[in-house]
Amino acid sequence: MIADLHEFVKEAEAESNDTLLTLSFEARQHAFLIQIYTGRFLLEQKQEYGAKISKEFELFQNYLDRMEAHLHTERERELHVELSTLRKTYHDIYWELRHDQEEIARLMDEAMPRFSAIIIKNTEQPEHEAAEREYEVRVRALKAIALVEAELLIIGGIGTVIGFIIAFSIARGISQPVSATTSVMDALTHGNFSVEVPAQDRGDEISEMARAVQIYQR
Amino acid sequence: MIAVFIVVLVLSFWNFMTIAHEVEDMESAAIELSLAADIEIKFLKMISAAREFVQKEDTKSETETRNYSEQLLGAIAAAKKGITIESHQTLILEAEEAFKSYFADFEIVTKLKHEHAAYIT
Repeated sequence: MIADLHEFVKEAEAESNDTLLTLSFEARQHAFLIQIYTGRFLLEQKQEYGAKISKEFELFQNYLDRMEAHLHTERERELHVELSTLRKTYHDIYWELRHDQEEIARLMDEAMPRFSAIIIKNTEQPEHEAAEREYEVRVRALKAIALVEAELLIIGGIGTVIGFIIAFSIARGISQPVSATTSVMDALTHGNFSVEVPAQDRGDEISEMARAVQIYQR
Repeated sequence: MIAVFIVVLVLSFWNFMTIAHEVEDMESAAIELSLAADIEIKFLKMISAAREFVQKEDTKSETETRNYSEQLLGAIAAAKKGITIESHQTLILEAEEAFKSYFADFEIVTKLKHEHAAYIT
């Protein structure tokens, strides 16, 4: 459009058609603005450019219509037809892009967030429930561990007492007959042969020792 | 005393078994939590890349979105296999359907964006 309008300006200048020259300048300015606003609309995706573009298209068409009455040469008529076609094509593409832009905005701002919400909700629910379950199980497990600790303490305590009792009984079982035999031996050395030698029937080393002591009694 | 000792010993063994069971339960809850969280994290990464693509219209973010979507499908498949609770399975299946719809819309957006880029250039 702008290249055609450059040519229009040159044609108008060549034949000193001042009105056509002014109208071509104005139309070219609006064609520039259409290009700039359309580019910004597509790049920045700001809807505010929509109204500006529509206004510029309207003004551009207005100048094209006014130019029609001042066309003198065949080339100018050709260019005017070409410009009208280009303007229509540009306008159609712009509306198609705008429609697509609206569709993208609808998808990005309405449809896709709806699906996002479902996905996030449906994953957060099992996450929360699993986290709660994990916490409850952890509390239960900690209680069971504390109980086992107490039980182990009790087992340890009772085990120690039982061990002590067994050790004491064994020690006592050995030391008592040895001590009694020592007393007998002491009595024998003092000439008392009437004492009874204990622990002769135990069936162990102490009973052997007791039987050996009994020999002295005889 | 020995009787008390044996009773406490049996109780203690039973409690050890309970702890083992609780730990197994805790493990399954942790696995479920990680599977669901993996889907959410990958989806959030994917939508972030998708939004970046809509803003920048660059190949990098489009490729990233597609990569994350593949990873997300893997995470969904793992969750379908690893999550045992039926109600949670249903939620994951719904999330899978929602993801398919989301990605179908993303494909439309991508096509429109490529058309725009062709018009501009």
